[in-house]
Amino acid sequence: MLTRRGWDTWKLILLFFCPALFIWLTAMVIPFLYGIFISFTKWDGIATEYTLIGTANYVKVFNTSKFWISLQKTGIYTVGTVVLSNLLGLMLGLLLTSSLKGRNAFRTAIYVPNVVGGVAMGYIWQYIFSYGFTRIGQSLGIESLSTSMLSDPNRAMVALVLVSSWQLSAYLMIIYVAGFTNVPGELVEAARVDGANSWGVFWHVRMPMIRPSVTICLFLAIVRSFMVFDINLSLTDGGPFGSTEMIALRIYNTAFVSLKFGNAQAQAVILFLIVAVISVLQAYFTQRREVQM
Amino acid sequence: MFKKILAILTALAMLLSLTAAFAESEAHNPVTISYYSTQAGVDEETVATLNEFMKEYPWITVNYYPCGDDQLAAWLALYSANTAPTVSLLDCGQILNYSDYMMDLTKAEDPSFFNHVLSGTDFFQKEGDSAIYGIPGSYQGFSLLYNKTIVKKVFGDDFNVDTVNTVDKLVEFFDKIEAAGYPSTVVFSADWALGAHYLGCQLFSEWLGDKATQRQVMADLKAGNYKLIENEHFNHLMDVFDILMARNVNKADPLADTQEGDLEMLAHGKVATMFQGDWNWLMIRNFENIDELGIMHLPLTNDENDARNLKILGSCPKGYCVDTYQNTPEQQAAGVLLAQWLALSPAGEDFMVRLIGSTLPFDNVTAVNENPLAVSTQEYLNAGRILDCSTYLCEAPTDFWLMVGPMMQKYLAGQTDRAGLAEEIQEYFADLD
Repeated sequence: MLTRRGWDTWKLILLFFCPALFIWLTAMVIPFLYGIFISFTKWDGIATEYTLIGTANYVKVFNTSKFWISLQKTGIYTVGTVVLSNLLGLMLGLLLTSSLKGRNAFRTAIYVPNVVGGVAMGYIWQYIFSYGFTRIGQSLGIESLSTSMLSDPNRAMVALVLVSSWQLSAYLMIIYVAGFTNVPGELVEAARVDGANSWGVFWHVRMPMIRPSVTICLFLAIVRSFMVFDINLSLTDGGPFGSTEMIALRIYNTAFVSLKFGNAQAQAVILFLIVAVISVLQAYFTQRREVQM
Repeated sequence: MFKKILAILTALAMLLSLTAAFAESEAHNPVTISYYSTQAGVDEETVATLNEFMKEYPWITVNYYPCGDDQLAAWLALYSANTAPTVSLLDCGQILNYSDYMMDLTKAEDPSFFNHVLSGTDFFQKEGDSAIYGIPGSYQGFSLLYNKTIVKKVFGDDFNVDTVNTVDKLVEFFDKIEAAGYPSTVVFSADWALGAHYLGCQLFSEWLGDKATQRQVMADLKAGNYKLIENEHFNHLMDVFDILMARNVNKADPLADTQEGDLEMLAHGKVATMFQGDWNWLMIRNFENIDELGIMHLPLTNDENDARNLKILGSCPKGYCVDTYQNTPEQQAAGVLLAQWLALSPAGEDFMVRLIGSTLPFDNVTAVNENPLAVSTQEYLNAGRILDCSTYLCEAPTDFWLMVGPMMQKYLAGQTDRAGLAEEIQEYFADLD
């Protein structure tokens, strides 16, 4: 038998917990489970009846070389983007926590790319790569800039990494700024008194102290890079000749162009497992190196 | 006195018409239907057109679902939400893919509206099935868009493009244009343009043979026992593509172009021709100081007696279909009314012709088309000079352009040769489920 106080507690729990639980279940858990179910079926996207085909979609995915090629390209893109965006974000974070004049204005200005939608930004950069840089290259006689980066498979991948890193670093910068701001001033002071130079302060004092930020930033960068879709669609659309088709774009095309919903869902489940394993490992190893105060 | 009588008569006439409209409305139960259109960017105009329909059929209320960038995904989402649109304007391939959920319009209460459709119903029919699942929404022509202003300057006002009826004469045509100082052509490099329009529609067209032959080639490719490189038509097609590639104004960086950039060059006389279709008018009309433009055929052989050399490709890319899966029989009946009204009424025709700039394959079109490219299409259509490419549009795998387009891009960029391209296309077909 619950006491009045117990009822009140339960009412509070229901009031605050149930709406969130309902949203989480309907928007995340049920679609996720439904997606796993679809991956074992042959489905046309409309019918309410499903033809169960066991693991045939998974077998097909595992035997499709283009899936693995796409996954490999996503891996290369992820490595490039995670490294570059974090380096840029770290540098910007460091710069904008120093005694720079107008740093708040800089923070706002640098954050702007993250507010612009991925699709819009992709189209803007497509124009810059196709017409801006090529005009500069042609007028200055720089051969490598005279042709569009987007028309060469390797350079298109570089372009994709550059644009993604440019956008993502703005977001990561905010987390690094928070991290650097929380480094106790007395630690830095003490290091300087002990004779540490700027590099020494950065590497031996600040960096260990912002490892939680590094953990979060690496996690976010890995997940966002593996799941990249909008910039991929608008900047290169997987081209030239399919050389930059990342896995999320491939999944979308398999579903809505090839109309193979079960196959697309199987690819999505495999991608989920890969990203989950990598993210958990990354979080585990980076958290182990965090400094506890 | 006369004025008084006139006023009374006018009032009586208005009263009678109102009573008639009310009586007609009373005779029908109110019904609410929905309309999904993949004609993007004209939502306000679509709503205005639907309002016209609702004035004519006051017992029918139409809710409008505009499409986003993901046309098919948005349409499928409506089905998932159990709110399938009663009438949809969809690509013919999609209508056929989902024909299980569509009404056979020949079984509509009064299918006599098909009497007004001159051509294009075959784009909404499946092999061996007499059912028609869509009313053609428009007719589109594509082949070689050309700048008439340049052609007139180079060849004189009286030049007849029909004299360009062989590949050799096409080369001569390009030579003279280039000698006059104009780049002769631009190859638009988008995967969908190369995969679907240049290769898909032209390969599986009447150039390949009759419909049975086209289907047989597709079936043999799927079975993995067809050598595309040995096909004469494929080689003709690629021979002409080689000519276009060699003269491409963007050949230094052939994949760096954009649709808008290429069309702007064509419209402003910076290039004389471009392989594309009349639908590009929607983009071209936004430019200022547009030259005179038109569409001409693309000859593929040196046989001047081959009538196919003087034809352009034509298709009914979109059609109006009626859902039977999630709509009641009353809604379906109202949907048929809406679909035929959108296709054949003066207001519907005006929308498609004046606003979208499409050609219409109907017998009663009065709307004046301001799209010079569609005017060319209409001329070819009237003369019966249209290459049938319905086999590709209706029966090829939906992802043909997505998979083969990049292969064509590779060829355009010099990263593969013809044999390699043919091999890759064969592999694609053989890998289909």
